[in-house]
Formats: sequence, C-alpha cells, structure tokens
Amino acid sequence: MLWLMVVLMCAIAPQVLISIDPNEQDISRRCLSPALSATDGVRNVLGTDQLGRDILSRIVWGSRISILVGAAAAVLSVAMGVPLGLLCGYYGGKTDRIIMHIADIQLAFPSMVLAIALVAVLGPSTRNMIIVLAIGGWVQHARVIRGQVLSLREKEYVKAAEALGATDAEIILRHLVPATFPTILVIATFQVAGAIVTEAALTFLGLGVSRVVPSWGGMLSDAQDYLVTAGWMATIPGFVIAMTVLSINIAGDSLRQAFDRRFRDR
Amino acid sequence: MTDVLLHVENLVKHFPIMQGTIVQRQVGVVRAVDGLSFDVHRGETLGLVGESGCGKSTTGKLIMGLERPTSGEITFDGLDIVGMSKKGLRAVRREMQIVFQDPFASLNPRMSVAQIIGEPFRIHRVCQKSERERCVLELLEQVGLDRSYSSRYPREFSGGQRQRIGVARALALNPKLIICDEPVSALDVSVQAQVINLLQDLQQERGLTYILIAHDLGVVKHVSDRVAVMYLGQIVELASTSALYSAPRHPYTQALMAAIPIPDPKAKRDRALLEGDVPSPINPPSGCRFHPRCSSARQICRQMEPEFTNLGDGHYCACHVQTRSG
Repeated sequence: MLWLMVVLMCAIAPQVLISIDPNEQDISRRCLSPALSATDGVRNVLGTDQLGRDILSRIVWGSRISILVGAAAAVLSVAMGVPLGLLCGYYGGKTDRIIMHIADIQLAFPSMVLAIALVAVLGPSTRNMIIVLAIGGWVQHARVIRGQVLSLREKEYVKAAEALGATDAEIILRHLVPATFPTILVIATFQVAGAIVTEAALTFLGLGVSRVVPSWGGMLSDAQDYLVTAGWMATIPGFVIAMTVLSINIAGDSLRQAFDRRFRDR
Repeated sequence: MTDVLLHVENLVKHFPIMQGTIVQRQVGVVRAVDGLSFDVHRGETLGLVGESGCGKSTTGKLIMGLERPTSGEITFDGLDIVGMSKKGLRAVRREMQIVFQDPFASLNPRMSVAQIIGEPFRIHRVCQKSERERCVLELLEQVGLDRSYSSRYPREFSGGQRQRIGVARALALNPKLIICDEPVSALDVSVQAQVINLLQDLQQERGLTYILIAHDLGVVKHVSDRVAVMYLGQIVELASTSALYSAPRHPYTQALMAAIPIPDPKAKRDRALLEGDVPSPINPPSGCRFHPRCSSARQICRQMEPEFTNLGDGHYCACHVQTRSG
C-alpha cells in the first residue's frame, strides 16, 4: 500500500520529489553504480545509465507513463466491456451470441501477438498504446459481467422490479450496475497491473511509448546491452515494475475482500 | 362476489429446449403450463396448489406479464394483458403485484428498506420525495414493522420481517390483485402464521384479491375461498375450499388430501399414497395426464384427455371416472 502511494505521488508530481532532470545527459558520468556518496558534487543514488542520466530520476518520471497507461487502459476497457456485458447478459439472443463469439476468438489469440499487430497498424505512441491495451482488456469485463447479469436477471429482486413496472434502463442502472460494481472495480484493478507489465514489454520491444520519454520499459530496453557491466540499469526498473504490480494486485485483493464483507449475504 | 377480476382462458406456456452452439435448433418443449382456464373473483382468495414443477409459479409469472404466454387469454379487469405493449403493461402493473417465495432473494441487498419500499413510487412517479418518505413509513406500520427500520438494510432482518417488507412493497401502489408465490414456504412455521394473518388483515382492510400459490395444503385451506389443484401444467380440480377438502373428486386431489398429516399418532387411515414420480412435462402421458399414477385408471383414461367439467355448484373436475359415473 505504502509503495503504491509513493508510486502515485511520483506520477502526480515528479518535479517536487526529484530535482535532477531525467533527460540530462553527461557522458563523463555514464554507468555509475548506485552509491549514496556524491561524485563530483552530484549524487546519483541509484547510479546512472549509459548516457549518464540519473536512474532514480528516470524511475520517478517513468512512473507517469506506467500509471497513466495502466489507468487509462483499464478505464477504457471498462467503458467498452461493461456496457457490452450488460447488454449481452440482459437481452441475450443473437447480439449476445455474436459479441461473445468475437470475445472467444479474441481470447484464443495470444494477447501479446495481438498487441504487437495492433501497434504495427496504428503506429507506436502513448495514445495508441492505451487503445491497444484496452482492446486487449474489454473481453474480460464483457465476459464476467455478462455471466453475472445472467444470474442476477433471474434473481427475485430483479423480477420484483420488473413486476413493479420498471423499465429495462431502470433495472440495469438501479439493480444490475450496483450489483456488478465490485466485480468491475476488482477486475479493473488487476487490469492496471497487467497493463503496466504489457506496456513495459511493448516499450522494451520498441513498440511502445517514444524513447525520448522516460519509461520503465524503455529503461529495461536500454539496459539489455549493459547487463554484465552495469546490472543495476536493468534490475532497478525491473524491481520497481514487479513491486508496483504486486502492490496493485494486493490492493485489488483487499478491495474484493472489503466488498465481500459488506454484502456477504447474497 | 361474482364480479370477475381476472379471467384466464386456455393459457399455454411452452419453453423451447434449444441445442447447438452456433446454429440453434429446437429439440423439444417443456409444457410448463398447458391449457389453464379459471376466473378470479373480486375480493376472493384463490389457492393454487400442486407438486413442485407443475407450473404454479409459471402461472403466476404469466399473469404478472413477467413471461409471455405461448397462447391463451388473460383478461384483467376487462383489459387483455397478453397482447399488451410494454408501456401498457407498465400501467396495469400498478393494479397487480406479486410477493415472492424467497424473502432473501427478493430484496436487493444493496438498497435500504426505504429505497425498496419506495421503489414503486419512484418507478411510477406517483408522489413527491418528501411525501414518499411518509408513504414508506405508513406502509411499514401497516405491515407491522417499526418506522425506525426504514434506513436499515435487508441483511439486518429475519425471514419473516423481510417477507413483510416484500408485502409492503407489493402494497405500495394500492393494487387490486396480489399474487402470492409461496409467500410462506421459506419461513418458520410460527412466522408463517404471522405473515398469513397479516395477508388476511390487509385483505379485509383494503378489499384485496389474492392468488395464493402454495404447496402447503394446510395454509391454503386456512386462507383460500376457492382452490385449484394443478397437475403437470393443467388444473385437475377447482372447487370451493370446503367442498374440495371435504369431498375431493379427482383421484389426485384425493391422494393429496390423504397425505395431509393428522396431528394424532393413533389415528389410523388408509392412505391412497401416490406412487412414482411426476412424469416429465417434456413428454406428458397421453390421455389423462394422471393415469400412470392413478389407482382407478381405465382404458379411456389412456386415450382421451378428460374435459374440465362442472360437477355442479362450481365444482369443476377433469376426470373420466368422476364425470362418467356421476
């Protein structure tokens, strides 16, 4: 939780936390190992990379991309998947079958290959990255929400609302959406984590965000030629990614538990 | 009392059984309700009894318009419900309501009691927000619950209390007809009596008409004016409560009556116990649907479906044995 707060702070206000410019290059100070003591008056706590850029600063600034891409992708896939899931589950019929078959086809496709193909078509940029990740993520929402709605629709309290004369929209908004909300939130949280990993992977492959912008995936990519000589260049961003994903997943888990406790009886 | 509030004629509901993943085709039908006809008079309580799976609840849902019938007529207060548009149904629903069996599933766990009981007002936009609150409190009192309960959530209540909340919701719009779908079968016996008494009191106060769907013959006897016995999607016997309980005509009804426990361990009875299971409604037996389990079945029962005939005094029965011999 604490880690997550720090990462979020980094993403919101990097300039407050760190004074060194993440893009400032200094060839004479390249590949310095992490050290607490200052060399030549400048302190690079986590060392520098092959161009002499401060790694700590790049990590802090890089959190922006990761959090932005992760959150935006999750929000966008909720926006695509949840309405489709609600419609499929509530109305059923042909539309339902068509949409679910599309979802099945997409699920059968390796997600990384799909993402690479889409980036190849759309071109690499931060915005396209978000779109690509959202396209990969809507299926989960649509499927899970559809399943929930299918069972909810037969619940007596939904039938009761129908018997009272509620319109479909009223039933969906008043009864179905609130009931599925915890699920949506939990899936979305895990998607943020997944999106961060995929973003890092795509950027590592050179298909993600621009290399000018500091990002965790980009740092890993830079580091691969220096694994033996400057191992910290790879291990530090790798550790940060792992920790962030882990803490988001833990947060998602506790969210789910909190909701379970609140409405434990049906 | 002869004023007909609800008229049902030849009501049929078949559920298709579909198979196939991409192209679906129908492989059969479940004949949940197969040719029901009955009237409900204003102010009376009609009991609808039968084994599980005989189509009682489906009948209730059909009348409420929650399911669309395959064919047949339902006339409520002079209005044809079957052909009605969704909008028209909305208006009719102010006039009839349903109380469900499971008080744990019929209340949304995420809504407070005030929201649940206020929902009908909100849906039909009948009164202002401030007034709505007053209406909710009044309803709470009418069903015997404390006013302070309105801000609580369903999980804080017992089964009986929840069922009272369900009754309050059904009453909110002042309907003429309330369908009670097994309103007490999920409750403890002691609480059952309370809820039944509540329903009876409300009926007297407001002149309500009930259709009481149940499998508990004791409860039905206690509350109903007339009782219809269902078997495999059809009504086999319909008569006033006293006539049905004292002199059941249909062999199925006779068997049901014999199965009512008598609170006397010494009482000896020769019971006409039913053997075998209810046949599948996908493939009902030919002729009289009860003939495979009937002790007095004759040749004709296997071949011809018996007609639903008046045996006099509003006592209807569908049985060859009864109509032929007397």
